[in-house]
Amino acid sequence: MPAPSAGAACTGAWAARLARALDRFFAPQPYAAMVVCRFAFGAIACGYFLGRAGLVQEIWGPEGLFGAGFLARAGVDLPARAREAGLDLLAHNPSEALLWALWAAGAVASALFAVGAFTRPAGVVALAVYALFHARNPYATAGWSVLLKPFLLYAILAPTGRFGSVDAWRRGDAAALSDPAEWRGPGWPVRLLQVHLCAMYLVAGWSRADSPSWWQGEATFAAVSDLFYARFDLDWQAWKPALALATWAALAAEGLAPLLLWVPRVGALWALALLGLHAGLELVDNHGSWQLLMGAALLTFLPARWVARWLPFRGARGAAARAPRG
Amino acid sequence: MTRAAALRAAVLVYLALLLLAAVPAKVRPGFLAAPGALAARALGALSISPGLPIFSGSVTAVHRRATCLEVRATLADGAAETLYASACPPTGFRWRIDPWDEMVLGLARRTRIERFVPGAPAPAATERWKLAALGDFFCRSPLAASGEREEVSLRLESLLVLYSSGRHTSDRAITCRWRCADAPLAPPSCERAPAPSRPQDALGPGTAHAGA
Repeated sequence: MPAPSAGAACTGAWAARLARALDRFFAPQPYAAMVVCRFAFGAIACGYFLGRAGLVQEIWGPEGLFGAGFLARAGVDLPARAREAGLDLLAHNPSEALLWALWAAGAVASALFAVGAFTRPAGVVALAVYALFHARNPYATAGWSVLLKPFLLYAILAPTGRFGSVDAWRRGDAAALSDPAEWRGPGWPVRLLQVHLCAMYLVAGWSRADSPSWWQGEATFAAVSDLFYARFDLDWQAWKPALALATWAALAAEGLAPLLLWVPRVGALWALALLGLHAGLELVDNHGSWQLLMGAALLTFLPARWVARWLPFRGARGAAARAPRG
Repeated sequence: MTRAAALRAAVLVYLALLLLAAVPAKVRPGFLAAPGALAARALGALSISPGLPIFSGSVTAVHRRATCLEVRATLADGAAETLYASACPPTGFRWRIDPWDEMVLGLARRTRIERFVPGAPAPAATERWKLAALGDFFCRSPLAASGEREEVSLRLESLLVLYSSGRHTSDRAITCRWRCADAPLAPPSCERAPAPSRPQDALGPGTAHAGA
């Protein structure tokens, strides 16, 4: 029998290396951050509905913007935005009552999902209603709500209801309500969320590659000066050098995130830097739930014990300290 | 193929689509052009966006400080009624964007209304669609006002700040008018306010109008 060629051996080595990398990629992952994501994404969806309680018909109703009344008068059959066309099933809804029922279902289901009660069914209902409402009028929000759909989907696909949830409490599963650093689950939903987060930074990074506003250090000044977003009206002139530094830091932090978040040790620090960036923006600007959405997803890049420390569940160390001696 | 292997394959395909769609068409290498377009179409069918070009503006030197939007209706009896007016500029601490401002002001800003002024580059179909929806809502929706409306006007002005000096200025307001008896998709008539003869006097000390 002839000896295998050097080329075949090399190919075999690469195949083995790739297989090991894939095994690592799909290995079970810590779930403390995913439980935070479940809560955050559910709460954001709930806030999307409840925050517009007084405007339900104006935003999504038959006589609201882009509503059935408008389409009938115009004699056309167009979605509010082509990208959401496939899900814009409410465009021709003539019933205000149906809209109220769906709105209530969306609000309740997203709240249940957040606390992990009937987690998967509640999540599915929340996502379905949210997708319908978002497609019906994507302009109801300043753009931050686009990513909630896929992020919510990943949190539903992950069995996040197993831990830190009402479902776990109803099951009497004490282990699922303590020591969050030890919570583990399938890796692939975590990877979906992480890669999508990186895709988001990739899109943002590319869009800034040829933007003079970013390279000249004016983007942050523009962001904090625009009172549509800014929390308060401040004269930022004296802060221009600091804002220019912040602009370049943000350009580097977000632009390099798709690569550096994956580098061992550096990734956690990079995630912390990005969390700082989002927290800083949240302090001075209103971007709906954008910072919460991104911040929660970034937690998946932090070591589980760091995230666990902030969760209101008893940790292993705390449990040991409280355990009777002897 | 086992169930686990099929799941892995599906996840990898989805992630590849996401990353392909995240790279803008103009920077995709030639060999990725077709797969990239396919990825964008596939995700679009699921209404999934890989990301947002957030804060990608290319404007320098002059930045927007506030958008002043006022929508007024002339009723059938000749009376005038303000249907919407944004705080201009907004004052005090704001813990969140008011959802109605986020909707109406956000939509008005996305119409790129400057394209509706005669002589400007023609607005795209999506921009005409947004402005038509706004006009129809304020002209005809019972949720915007009670009773019949003869005409609705939408006035949009941007307050600006100069990066170099911090000086406050504004652009020349654009006003669009709809005759409510016209067809819903009939474009409004839009015009820019004339340039003031003495700009430094128009808004008080420390302010000026941008030429725009």
